[in-house]
Amino acid sequence: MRRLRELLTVLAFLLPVLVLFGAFRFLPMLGAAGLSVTDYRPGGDFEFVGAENYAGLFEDQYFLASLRTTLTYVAIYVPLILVVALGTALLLHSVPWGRGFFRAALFAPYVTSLVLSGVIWKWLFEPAGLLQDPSTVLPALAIVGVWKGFGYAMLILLAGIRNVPADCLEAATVDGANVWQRFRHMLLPSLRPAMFFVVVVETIGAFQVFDLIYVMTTGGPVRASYTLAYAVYQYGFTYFEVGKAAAAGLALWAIVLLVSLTQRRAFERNP
Amino acid sequence: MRRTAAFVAVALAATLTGCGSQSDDAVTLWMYPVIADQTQSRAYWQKVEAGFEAEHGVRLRVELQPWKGREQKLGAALMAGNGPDVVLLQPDLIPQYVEEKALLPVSEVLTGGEHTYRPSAVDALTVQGEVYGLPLYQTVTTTVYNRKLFAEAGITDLPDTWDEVKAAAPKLAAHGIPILDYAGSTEETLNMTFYPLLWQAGGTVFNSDGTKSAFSSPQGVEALRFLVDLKAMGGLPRDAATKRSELVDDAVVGGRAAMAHAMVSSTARNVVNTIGAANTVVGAPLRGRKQVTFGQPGALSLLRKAKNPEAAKKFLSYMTSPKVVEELSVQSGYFLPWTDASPPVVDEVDKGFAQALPTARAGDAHPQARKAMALLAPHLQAALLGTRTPEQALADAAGEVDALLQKR
Repeated sequence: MRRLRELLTVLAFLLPVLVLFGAFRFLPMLGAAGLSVTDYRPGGDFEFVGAENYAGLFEDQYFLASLRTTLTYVAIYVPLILVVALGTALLLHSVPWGRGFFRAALFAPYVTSLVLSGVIWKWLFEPAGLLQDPSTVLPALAIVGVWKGFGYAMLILLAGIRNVPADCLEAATVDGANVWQRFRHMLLPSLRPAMFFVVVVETIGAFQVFDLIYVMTTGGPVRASYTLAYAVYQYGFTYFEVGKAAAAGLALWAIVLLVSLTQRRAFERNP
Repeated sequence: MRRTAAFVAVALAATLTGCGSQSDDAVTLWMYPVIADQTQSRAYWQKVEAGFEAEHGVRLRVELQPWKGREQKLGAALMAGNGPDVVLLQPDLIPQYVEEKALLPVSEVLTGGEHTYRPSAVDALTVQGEVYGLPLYQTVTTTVYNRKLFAEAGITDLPDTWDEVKAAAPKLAAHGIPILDYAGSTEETLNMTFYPLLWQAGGTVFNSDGTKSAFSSPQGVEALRFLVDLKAMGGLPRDAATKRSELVDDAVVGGRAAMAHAMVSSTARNVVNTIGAANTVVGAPLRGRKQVTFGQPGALSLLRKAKNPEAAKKFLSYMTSPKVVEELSVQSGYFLPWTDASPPVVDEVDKGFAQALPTARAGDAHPQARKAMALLAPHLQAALLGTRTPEQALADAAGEVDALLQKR
């Protein structure tokens, strides 16, 4: 009876999130899965087309190119944000005063409007022409993405650092361990759960990058920043190929799921 | 516990029902900033709402939408089944919406009263013998110059042909000013960037029966080479390949470019307000092999999913009545959609745009027109960035557009 009551209490607390998740995430995903096997048109007519939309994706050179572009962006963005967030978290942990102020200042970009930041960064990049050159546009976008997002990752890692017992670090210092040794052999292993969380969340975010592209480059120049999420948007809202957009969206979901599971396994194997 | 559960249920129900759309018998119109001044625009559309309701006893709801992202928003609303009953569309969008079975024909409402519609406008709104849009106004773009910047570069005769533009470009570039503003972002409609030049070179986007692309013709290459040559001599903005047109911070308005080849009248008025009437020249469309520019009717279309098509047709009839259209023309500064009515010429800007009207072309109507644009635009960027020659860029794009047309 007591267990049942506990279970009901837990469910009552989870219910709002479950209902919202179901209504705004799970049901739309089911809807997308349904749309992906039709040729749904804005007029409302549709026919069942089976796996045609999925097959069409692999014949579409721009879908495959968008996959390569997305992977390149992820490969630049994720290590960069990890290094920046870890570096700032360590600095923040070691400042003797004004920690609250610096924490708020470093977190500020995370809560700044992306449209506003995008416009300002466009001005900053303009003299160097970084957004006009297909070879520099992705690193430039990754820099803006990291600037915008590192505050969140920094807070997670900072919480992880603060969980490391101070007396252990002090004992290591007394035993003669230098800064690098304390970082490599004490802090880093303790930070693994926090780093795993950051890597997974940021990888998922990087795979889904859209707003930055929409505001700053619209997929250009010459499709150099044409990512998977932007392709989904263009299939759906420029070409009105809703079935294909849904299929591409589900392909993106499958890729993200696969990458997240692989990351999880990699972290588990190297505890 | 019970009270908490009830609160959560009520809160969730309120959240979910808040996401629904309004449903009543009102006719809904999606309108855009045709009247640039927001206060004027609101006042005009409130008057239309009141006028229609008084005359027909049916409620009218005018929802003012921004131009930005309009196709995406309309497409999303239609797919979600909560679009308007009537919407403002342009001719090159209509064939696509007809093919997607999103529109109803409105031929029976097209009377014009005592006036005669411009035949080119009606043709542009006709798909397979049926009219899918009622002309509400007529727009035109033309060339607008900042005379002061030309004078500072020692040029007194403003260039009105391609050759003259190319000859004047280095002189302005020497002063750090690109002669021509050009917005090559893939979000821009090519109707106001590359296509007017393509038409001036004598080219077209599609062949006559719409089965293949035609922009990679020698005329198309000539048009793109004109831009690439200008870019090489500093005649286009540095970021021309990726630049977006800015309604507020336009390059000609801001004195950062000396001229624009397809400017709309509202931007021309901004130029006048910023650099003064004496320094602003509204010229004729540029001449390549032909003198032609982009100009099109703004039309009201009836959506297939209209809740009450009969009431919506009554509104279309009311909205296209001479009295309502004439007032819209006065408020918006756009031209009347009829051939037998004088344009409301009040200043030099109006006069300049009125002169361009006979050379206006409404774009190449085709169900795949917008998709062809999306495929072509990145290749134009490649040419402007110098990674492909004009011939290669247009041939690449033609291959993609032809494959699309074949698939359809």
